[in-house]
Order: sequence, then structure tokens, then C-alpha cells
Amino acid sequence: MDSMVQYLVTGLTVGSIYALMAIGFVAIYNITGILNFAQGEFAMIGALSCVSFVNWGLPMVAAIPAAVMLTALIGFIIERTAIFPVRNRSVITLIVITIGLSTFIKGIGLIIWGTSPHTLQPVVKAEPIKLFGAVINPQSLFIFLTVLVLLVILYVFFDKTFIGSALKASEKNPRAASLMGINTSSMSALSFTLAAALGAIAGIMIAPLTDATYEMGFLIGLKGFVAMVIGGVNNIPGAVVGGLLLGVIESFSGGLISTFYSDAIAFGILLLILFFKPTGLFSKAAGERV
Amino acid sequence: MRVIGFMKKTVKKRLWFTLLAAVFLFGMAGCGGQGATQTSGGSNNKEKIVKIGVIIAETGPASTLGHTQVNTVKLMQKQLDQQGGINGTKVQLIMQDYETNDTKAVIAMDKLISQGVAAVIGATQTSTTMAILPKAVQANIPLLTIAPVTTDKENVYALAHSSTTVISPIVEYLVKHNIKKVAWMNARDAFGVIGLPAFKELAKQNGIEVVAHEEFDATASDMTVQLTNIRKANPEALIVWSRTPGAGIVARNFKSLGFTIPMLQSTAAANKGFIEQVQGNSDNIFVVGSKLSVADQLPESDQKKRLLAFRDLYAKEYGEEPDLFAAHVYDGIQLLIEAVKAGKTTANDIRNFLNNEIGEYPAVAGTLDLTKPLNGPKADGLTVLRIENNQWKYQQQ
Repeated sequence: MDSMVQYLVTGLTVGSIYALMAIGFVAIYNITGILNFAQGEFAMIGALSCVSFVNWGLPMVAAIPAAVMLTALIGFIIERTAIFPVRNRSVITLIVITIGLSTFIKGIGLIIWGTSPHTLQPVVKAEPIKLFGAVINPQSLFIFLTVLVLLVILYVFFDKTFIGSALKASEKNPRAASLMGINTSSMSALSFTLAAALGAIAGIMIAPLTDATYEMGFLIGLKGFVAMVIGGVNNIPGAVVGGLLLGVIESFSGGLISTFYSDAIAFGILLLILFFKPTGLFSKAAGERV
Repeated sequence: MRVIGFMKKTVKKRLWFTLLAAVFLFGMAGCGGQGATQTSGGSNNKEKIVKIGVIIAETGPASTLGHTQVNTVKLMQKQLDQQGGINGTKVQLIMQDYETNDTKAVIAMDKLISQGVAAVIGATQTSTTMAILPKAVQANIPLLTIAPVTTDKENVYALAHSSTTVISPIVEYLVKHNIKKVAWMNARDAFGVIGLPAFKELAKQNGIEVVAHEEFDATASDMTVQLTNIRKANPEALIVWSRTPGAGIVARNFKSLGFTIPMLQSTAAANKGFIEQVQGNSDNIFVVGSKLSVADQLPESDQKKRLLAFRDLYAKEYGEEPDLFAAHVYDGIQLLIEAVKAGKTTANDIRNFLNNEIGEYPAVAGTLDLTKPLNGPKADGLTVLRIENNQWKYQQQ
């Protein structure tokens, strides 16, 4: 019984990390139609630059916004230099570019921060909480809180503000959007800036749990992508549920069956979902898809 | 318009040609210059030169391992130059960067052989070593390996510990503390999976049983599930075979789940990064590491002097401490210097010297017994370390 509760708690902890990553994926996909495979690397830059700022003597409350802004700036620069010049190419070209960017950013991270892991102290230091015989790390409660806050903020941003609606319109129908006076090219830059900031927040929240290394982005980026596919590619709350689901599946299959196969089981479930519900569990079938 | 476009193209083309030609010219000038100085040096001093090739990953992902090795080569060359030749023979270390690319390492090996090297030290990674090994065997040049490899070739000398050797201090620790039931966790990568087979063999001989075995991804964010499974088996100790960051995350999860059994970690955790990961929460955590990291705490002995000599020499030059990877390169160069001191300057002579004359050699990484089929240095260079105040702490065995 104790171990069941522990599997659930661990699954939700890991799942919330995947959910944080998935939010960034959906944010970019919703606006540009691109799957950004460098999303995990944004998390890496956010986490490691935050570590550097703290080491330079900045207090935590200043280091976090500084790291988020730096990563957002990098996201903007990357969009202007690597995505914008080829914006008229097919979506698949742009996706391949993001894969290249991911390798590139990882390499830069390796040069700047080296291979050894860097520890980021949590904002609030607390002992692990015991609940029904299971151990909960306080930082994972913060991650949950962050996921909830981001959900609300993004909902308000996309559905209640003009610029959010403009962003969505640019994805749905770029031509109509530009005829309505929306500058679609600056929307793409905005989406990358936003996604980079979201990635940085994810990285900074995860780092106290997992430590930050130059290679941290790949695995969580991949899992975030899977979470997004499970939940529905253009549905932010769906992606969050998808992330939590993936985490819980992994943890229970690792605990009850075998940790040797937990990845295989998680990806097997992804395949099943793609077979039977290709648009994801929570996404409505859209008319424009044929 | 078309004509202008055409002209623009030709101008562009010409520019490219000029640039290319300039690059070639510079390159050729560079080569010529080098060759000239070499010959003049040779004729002036009438010195014999022994060339030793060193193949290291100075750039690319493996450069984090290669970095201290490169430093060691530069340091040794500087020292050799200051000494000004051994019995009138100059030792020249020719360092080749293989850019963490096995193909480039093979090309570098060919180049070194054509330059007439008497021996080769390399390479930083195991896979690369396996790639250059056939070349060394074919040319019958002594190859001193600095990454873990097992081979029975008579001109290949392993200077890095085999996994069995690395595991033996752990088994000693278990036997000493009368621990019979252990749990094993390893990362799902090349380093992680080689530990258990070697451990099982040694454990069996000592009546130790592996009661649980779990795997994880070295970059995964949480290992609580694995540890929860392990808890059910009720082990008396946990052994973890993983690089960082996985190694440190296991340690952290281990602590927050409230385990009280000892945790033993591999040489891949014997670095500053791991100490940073577990800082302030390191009791009951032990790591197999080189005695080099605790050289100043060792009891007085020849070994202590030997380790301190290398460590201080390195620290004086670079302001940081050398690691085990650097020690392997240092050992290789020292062995070859021994050969040159004995008057052996050709590949054949050095091979015979290493195979038949030198016998047991006290290297920094551990005692090397060159008379037997080589399994790498003995475990006397390794020890089970503790962490105290974020520093490695030697414990009396």
C-alpha cells in the first residue's frame, strides 16, 4: 500500500515536469504550427543561467526573472536568425531546423557550463513531507503550483487579450490575419520568445529536483513532446493532463512491472493513442484537418 | 541584367579562387617552415629524437575527459624540454586531437605511424581505443591504452583499471562490514551496464547475494520508483553504477526516502560534480575513487610521495588538481621515459623492454604488473572514499 502511494506521488511529480515542458511545446505549436524540438534546450539555458546568476551573487528573486528574460531574449534571437529567414518553407523544414538548433544550443551549453551537474537551491527550503507512508518533495508542490498558475495566465492571455487572439489567428489563417492588420511575422518571434520563457521557467523549477546539466533538455523535451501528443497537440490543459498521465504510467509500470521496460511501456501507450485517437485524448477533431 | 548577373557571378567565383589559393599558399608555407626547423634542429644537435604519439579528445563531447590529459601532455613535454634530453635522446610527444570522432582517431594513428613514432598513448574513450588498436597491432607499435579495454595483444598495455579491479574495493568493503545482501542500481548506458557482471562474479566468491537490480536513465529526473522497489527486497547496502547527474539524483532520492543502509558509488561519481550534488547530505555515501584525490591524507609511503609528486606538479602549473584520466596519460609517458632511460628508442626495443624487462611498475593509478597478461593497474591505487565538509576523505582500510 505504501509503495502504491509512493508510485502515485512520484508519477505526479515527474508528470508535472513533463506537463511544464508540454505547455511550452503547445504554445509554439498553437501559433506557428512548428514542433519546437529545442524546447528542452530552453529549459537547460534557463536552469543553468539561473545557477550562474546565483553564483555571481544575485539573490534568488532576482536571478529567476533575469534567467527567464535572458532565455526569452535568446528565443527571440533564434527565431530572427534561424526561423524567420526561412519562414516560407514547409513546416517540416522548420521542424528539422529546430532539431539542429537543439544540438547547437546543447553544444554551446557544454562549452559554457561543462559536463558536471550544477545544483540550484530551491526557493523555499523544507524537509520532505510524509503522507500515507509516501515521501513528497516540497519542490514538486511548487512545480504543481507553477503549472496551475501558467494554465490560468495562458488561458487569459490566449483567450482574453487582443495580442493572444492575434497570435492564435496568425496560426489558423495567416493570410486572413494579415488582412485584418495583424503583423504575422512578428507573431512568430513573439511565440518563440514566449516559448523560451516558458521553457526557462520549467528548467528553473525542475533544477532543484534533478540538478541542471547541458544535456538535461533532451529527455524532458522528448517526454514533454509525448505528453503533448497524448493530450492533444493544440490544447494546453490537455497537454498538462497528458504530462501527468505519462508520469503516472511510467511510475506504475516501473513499480509494478519492471523499470527495465518503463520507457517501452510509456511509448507503447503513445503508439496506441496515435492508432486509436490520432488527435490526442482531449483534442476536438478540427475541420481543417483532412 | 543577365550580363550584369553573369559578371557578378564570375567576380564572385574569382574572389573564391583567390581566397582558396591564399589559404593553400599559407598552408604550404606553414608546412615548409615546420619541416625546415625540424631538419636543421636535427643536424645541429646530432640528437636522437624518440617520437611518441598521443591521441586525445581535445575537442568534442569527450573533451571533458580529455582536457586534463591534454594538460598532462603539455606539462610533460615542458618538463622533458627543461631536462634537455635523456642520455642524449630527445623525447618528443606528438599530440593528436581526434575531436571525439573515432574515424579521425584512425587517421591520426596512420599519420603517427608514417611519422615513425616509437609508441602511441591513447585514446580518451574505449570505443576509440578499440578503433585504433588493430592499426597498432598491424604496425607492431606499443600501444598504451588510457581507457578501460581488455585485450590479449602482446603490444597493447592497459593503463586504466578494468571493471573487476574497480569493483574489488567495494567487495572488500562489503566483506569487512559483513554485508551479505546488496541491491544494485545502474544507469542504462555503456558505463552503467558493465558493472554488474563483474560484480556478480566477485560477489559470488565472497558469498554476497544481489537481492534486487534496477535500472534508470542517467539523465532521468527521479529514481524514487526504483528505490521503492529496492526497499521491498530489504538489502543491507546499495551499490550504484552511474555517471552524474543520475548518480547524485539517486543519492538525493535515497536520502529523502529515509534509507539508513550504506550507499556505494562507482568511479564515475568520484568527481567535484557529485560532491556538489550531495552537499550537506553525504553521510553513509561512499565512492570508489583514486587515491590521487586524497594523496595528502594517505599514510607515509612511496605511493604517497609518487602521487603527491604528480599532483603538486600539475597543480602548480594549472591551479587545479589532476584526475584519474590525467594519471593514466602521466603513467604512460613515465613508462616510456623509463624505456628511453634504459636506452630503448625503437618500437621493437620498447616493446621487448615493456614485455620482458620492466616487470612490476609503480604507476600513479596503481601497481602495473607487465609480466602477466595485462588487466590494467591493480586496485592498490583505488580506495573507498567518504565525503566530509564537501571534501573527499580517506578512510583507513
